[in-house]
Amino acid sequence: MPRHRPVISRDCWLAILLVAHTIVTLLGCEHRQKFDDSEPVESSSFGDQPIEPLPLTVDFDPARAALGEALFAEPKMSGDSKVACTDCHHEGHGLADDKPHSSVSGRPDSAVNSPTMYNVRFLYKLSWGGKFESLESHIDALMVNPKVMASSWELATKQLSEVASYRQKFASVFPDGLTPSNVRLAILDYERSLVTPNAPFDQYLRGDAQAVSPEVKRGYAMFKSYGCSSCHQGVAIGGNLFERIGVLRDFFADRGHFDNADLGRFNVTQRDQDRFVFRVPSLRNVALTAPYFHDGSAATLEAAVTDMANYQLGRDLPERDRSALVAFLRSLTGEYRGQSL
Amino acid sequence: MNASRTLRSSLAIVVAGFVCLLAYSAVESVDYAEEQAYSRDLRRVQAATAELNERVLKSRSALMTQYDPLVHALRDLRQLHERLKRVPDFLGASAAVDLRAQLQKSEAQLREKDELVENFKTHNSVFKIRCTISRSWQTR
Repeated sequence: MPRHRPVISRDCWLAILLVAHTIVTLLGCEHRQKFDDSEPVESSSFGDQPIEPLPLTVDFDPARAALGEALFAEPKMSGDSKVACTDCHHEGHGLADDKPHSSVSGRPDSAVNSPTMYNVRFLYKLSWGGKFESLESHIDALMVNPKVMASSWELATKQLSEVASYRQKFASVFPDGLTPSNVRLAILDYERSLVTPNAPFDQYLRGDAQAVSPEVKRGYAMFKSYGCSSCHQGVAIGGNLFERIGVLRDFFADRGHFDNADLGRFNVTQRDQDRFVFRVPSLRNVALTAPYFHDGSAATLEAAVTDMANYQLGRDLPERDRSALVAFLRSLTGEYRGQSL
Repeated sequence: MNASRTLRSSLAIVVAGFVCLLAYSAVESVDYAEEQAYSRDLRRVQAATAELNERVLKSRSALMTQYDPLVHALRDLRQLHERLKRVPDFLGASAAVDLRAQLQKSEAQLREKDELVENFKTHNSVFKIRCTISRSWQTR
């Protein structure tokens, strides 16, 4: 019986398979290229983006917040009546400090750079090491900290009660007037009111394609393609996870020294894995809050971008990309009470 | 005279019985609004845990590009546990003890989950950075 030869030989099958594989691979590459983040986003109808605009309105009590604002600048809040919150959180400096380490009357210099108070309500933990879970626990700790306010709610209330205008203001806002609990509530409401919506980039995210320049759009594409958005994402563009400083290159070896504050989250948890780990800071209003990092070691936004690319992303940025990234970061400066910061 | 006394006694017994009934219902009755709210919170723990798990999976698969939804899910779970600590009175002492023991177990699991999610976010971010580096090498 004659044996039938197959219509297509085995070699031929192999060749077909090889060609098919090549086509599928090329199609895959083409597909990937279509979604390459290095292309600026031109459409204002976004899909899932790592960054969300800040809400245009938030809940807080305006009368309490106004009272809290006065207390924020009031030295009588401190035990020796010499230090106010605004000594480290300057209004003209994005409610951050312009010095690497805060230096105020009768206190040792702060171990870390004082971060901005704007948009703190969106942070899931507070302080560089994430020691505090809420605004309440944070201000309670700062009030009694001998290196900060060196006071207590009771002492601050006693000192405030010596001023007639405070007694009157508290009586008009709170039914039970000036009490330690109400002083605390006023400060908390002020902190919750510190929201800076409507940054140019938020306007862009909300659909106004003309709100930012092509350079900013390119910077945002760089921000994603370089991997910055792996950590800086969400409504606060950071502030919702912990990360080690020096993921790909050794930050402290290059700086040449380190001290206890550099241990970051380790100082809170005492776990080895948390050495040199910090809460990723929010990038909202970042253009206003130099110097940068927990140690205030980057004096300018350009230097901060260069260092982050170097230590966190293992990259040396070309000047063109760095400029685009800085332009994008500058577009994150929002408005407070309707006025651009 | 006897009839009147019998009538008064009967009335007194009826009134006393009614008072006892009222007292019993006040002690043993179930506040349905409270019961429903508590049951809803108990069921919500399961739903919120499922939501958190789903969000972690989405994040791991790069279907979600931010961690705020993870943070919010964990915050919701913590708030639920805080509310559940206030066990309704109508449950009785032994049921309350049993429930509190289960809540403690659930809180311990939540703390563990919280820690795991924290580690996931940190490691996932580094993984994503390494992916971008490897992609940039491929395109060179």
